[in-house]
Amino acid sequence: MDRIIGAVIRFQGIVQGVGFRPLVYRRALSLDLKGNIRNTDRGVFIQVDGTETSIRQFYEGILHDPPVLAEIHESSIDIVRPYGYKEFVIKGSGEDGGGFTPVSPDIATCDSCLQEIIDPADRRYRYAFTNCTDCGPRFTIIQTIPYDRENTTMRVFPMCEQCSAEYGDPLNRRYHAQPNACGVCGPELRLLLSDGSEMQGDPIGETIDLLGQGLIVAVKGLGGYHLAVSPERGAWVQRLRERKRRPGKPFALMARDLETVKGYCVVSQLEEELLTSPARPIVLVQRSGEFETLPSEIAPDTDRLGIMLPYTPLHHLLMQEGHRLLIMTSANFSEEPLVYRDDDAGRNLSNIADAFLIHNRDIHRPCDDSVVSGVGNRVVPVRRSRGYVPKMIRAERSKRQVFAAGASEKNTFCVFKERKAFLSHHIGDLNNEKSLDAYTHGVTDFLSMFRIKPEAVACDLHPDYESTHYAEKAAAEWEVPLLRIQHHHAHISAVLGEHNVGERVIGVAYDGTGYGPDETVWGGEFLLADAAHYERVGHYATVPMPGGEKSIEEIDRMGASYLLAAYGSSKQIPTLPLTEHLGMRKLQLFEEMIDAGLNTPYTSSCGRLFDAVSAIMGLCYEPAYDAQGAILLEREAGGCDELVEPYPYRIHEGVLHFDDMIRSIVGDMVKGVEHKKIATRFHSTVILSSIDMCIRIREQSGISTVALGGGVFQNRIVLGHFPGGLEEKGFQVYVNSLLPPNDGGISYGQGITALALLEGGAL
Amino acid sequence: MCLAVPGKILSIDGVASVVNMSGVKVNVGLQLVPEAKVGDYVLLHAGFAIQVIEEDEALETAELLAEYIFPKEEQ
Repeated sequence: MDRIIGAVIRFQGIVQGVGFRPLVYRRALSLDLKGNIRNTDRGVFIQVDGTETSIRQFYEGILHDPPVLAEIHESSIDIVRPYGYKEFVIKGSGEDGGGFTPVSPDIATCDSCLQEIIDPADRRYRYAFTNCTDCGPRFTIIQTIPYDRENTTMRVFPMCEQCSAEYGDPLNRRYHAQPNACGVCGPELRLLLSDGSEMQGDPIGETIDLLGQGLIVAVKGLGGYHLAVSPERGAWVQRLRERKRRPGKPFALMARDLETVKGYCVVSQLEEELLTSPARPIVLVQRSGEFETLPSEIAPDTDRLGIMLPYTPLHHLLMQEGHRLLIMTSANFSEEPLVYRDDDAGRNLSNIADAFLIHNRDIHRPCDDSVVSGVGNRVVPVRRSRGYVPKMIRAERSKRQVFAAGASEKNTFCVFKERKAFLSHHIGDLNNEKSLDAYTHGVTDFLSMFRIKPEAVACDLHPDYESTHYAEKAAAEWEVPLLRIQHHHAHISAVLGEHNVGERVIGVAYDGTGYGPDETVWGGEFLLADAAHYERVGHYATVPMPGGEKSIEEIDRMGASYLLAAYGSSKQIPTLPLTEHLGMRKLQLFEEMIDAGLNTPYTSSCGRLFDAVSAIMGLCYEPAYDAQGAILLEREAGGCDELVEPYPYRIHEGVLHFDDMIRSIVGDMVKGVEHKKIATRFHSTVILSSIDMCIRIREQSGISTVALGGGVFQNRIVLGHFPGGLEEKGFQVYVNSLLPPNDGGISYGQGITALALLEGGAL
Repeated sequence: MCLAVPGKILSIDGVASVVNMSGVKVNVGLQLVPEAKVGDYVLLHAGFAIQVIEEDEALETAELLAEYIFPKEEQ
């Protein structure tokens, strides 16, 4: 017969706030085990008495079939003498103090809750704040850890008798569901008009009516406000564009269900999984012919559409009972942070929104919708925020505690502790006061939430980034070392950290702008690097940026610069739409600026090359949003299923020259070769010349592992063909898949480098 | 399966304690063994005491461990 033994089982990972304890409780009861389960700062501990067989079954059952939202990173079992327990109990959290336990991200409404809100017989029928241990708000309502109702913005809603009973019953789906609520005791919706008057009647039904009239409604959601408008008529969409001061950037859509998405878009298996995942990000999908029935104002430039499925009960009700498709764009002015506080919404959005659908559950911290795309079988996070933050990312190099400040655009920051990294939600561009406030507030919040006392601060090498200024002040105040990490090295370190690569690699970092230590602007870089150190072994040939930063906003300047470099003189350049657009006087002005070295820094940036070619082809001169030039160029190339013969390029002493390519593109333009061919051949040239560079670097260094980082790797053609092309040549290739390859992931890379330097004894 | 290591509790402060583990002083949480007293021997795992054990059992395990970690042939 099986003897009775005692055991101590431990699970570490995302095991708190995901229904772990109730699930374990139910399994323990079914296997007749006695003992207890508790949360600690080292994970969940279970002490049990039972037969050897049942304890083994219990342990393996949890390990192989944990709660849907749990992620077990580590587990162990110790066999001890039986404790003599009489029953199985759940011990409260919060009695430990001191340590930290990972906080769960916000989770989309689960199917069980969805069934309840559409069931007229259910007590939660049409209740917009329904949730359970499998779903609902977390990160955005948690004020401090441990995760208990008293520490969330739900504490002002005492539970009614029925909710309390659910909350207290270990066999109920809502056992210890901290935001548990119902129509009797929980948060309520209200609909206000922009003059502050309240609409009577059913807020959801009234909102649907207003949207049906083409009005703009600010909808308070999970991590902030959305601006909703029906995409039915172009004029309605245009009105939102004008009011939001957002001329061309595509708007995100919310669709009622997957079938609706498929009605307008071509959805791959991977994209379907991303759309329906508990994080419910905005997924960039290919629109189909049917989409042409909708107004072009939604997404004028790109053939890809940002679309998401409802992720709160409120969204489900709005979509189920009203519109199949709604524009749901973050409520903010261009580049400013997301509006999430009710008083800010009233103040800042009253000129945009005609009405406000609000509620009285406070959002403790803002969290923008996340954006991802699927390229082949690769997941590319474009913006990692709601639904993902603050999930831990591994940082196995060191246990030390570090704060990494990030870059300037698409900012996130990152904190490190105990071989884990916690990347912040999307903060945005730090070049305005409001974003900077959000940043400062966010940093303080993360340091306290994860109980982190940094031993070092990492920031960009750029002396004028706001994040650098912040890091300088923080390091001085905390009396810890400040490590300035080169931008592209940090991009590569982000890849090395995510994949835990310890060896030296060839790092290919392609983006728009990063501070180079040689007073040029970097962005088309080939490095030999490990996490701690790098050496620049190759780069794109530098070209002038007439007017400096101005040539990022006006990419016709980059077009002119590349043309002048390729032809030697303004007089030699053939007539093109770009030269007509600029006019000879402006072209000569740029030429003089460059010759005189007047406000004309040099750049090796890959992003600027894309801009230049976009301008030379006449696709875009003044981007209305970040990377519009490159996006239009990618669109011209269509799918680019196969690479074609590249344009000529030269590699000389590690420098990749594109002047031959520029002349060939101009030749094709003059001959009237169709845009699709030129754009496809341009992308092919970038990819094939880069592979050529890697092969040469491998010959010199003997290194055949490549890490690819930087914002250019969001480009579907580059990401679709570059890694595979390298693999065909025998390279081992690593790309980010948990972190954005753009500056949204760079703080993590800075921290990984800082940890490596700390461990290497450099400090 | 893991092998828990024994140690002797030297001092207790709330749920925090200092334990002598083969001559090394370590900080150990006592949340799982609230009955533990100063002078007790406990099994340790991941920074927590997981069970109070008898002295002879502790010493025997410690000896076993010593043998396991430093086999006689290699000493």
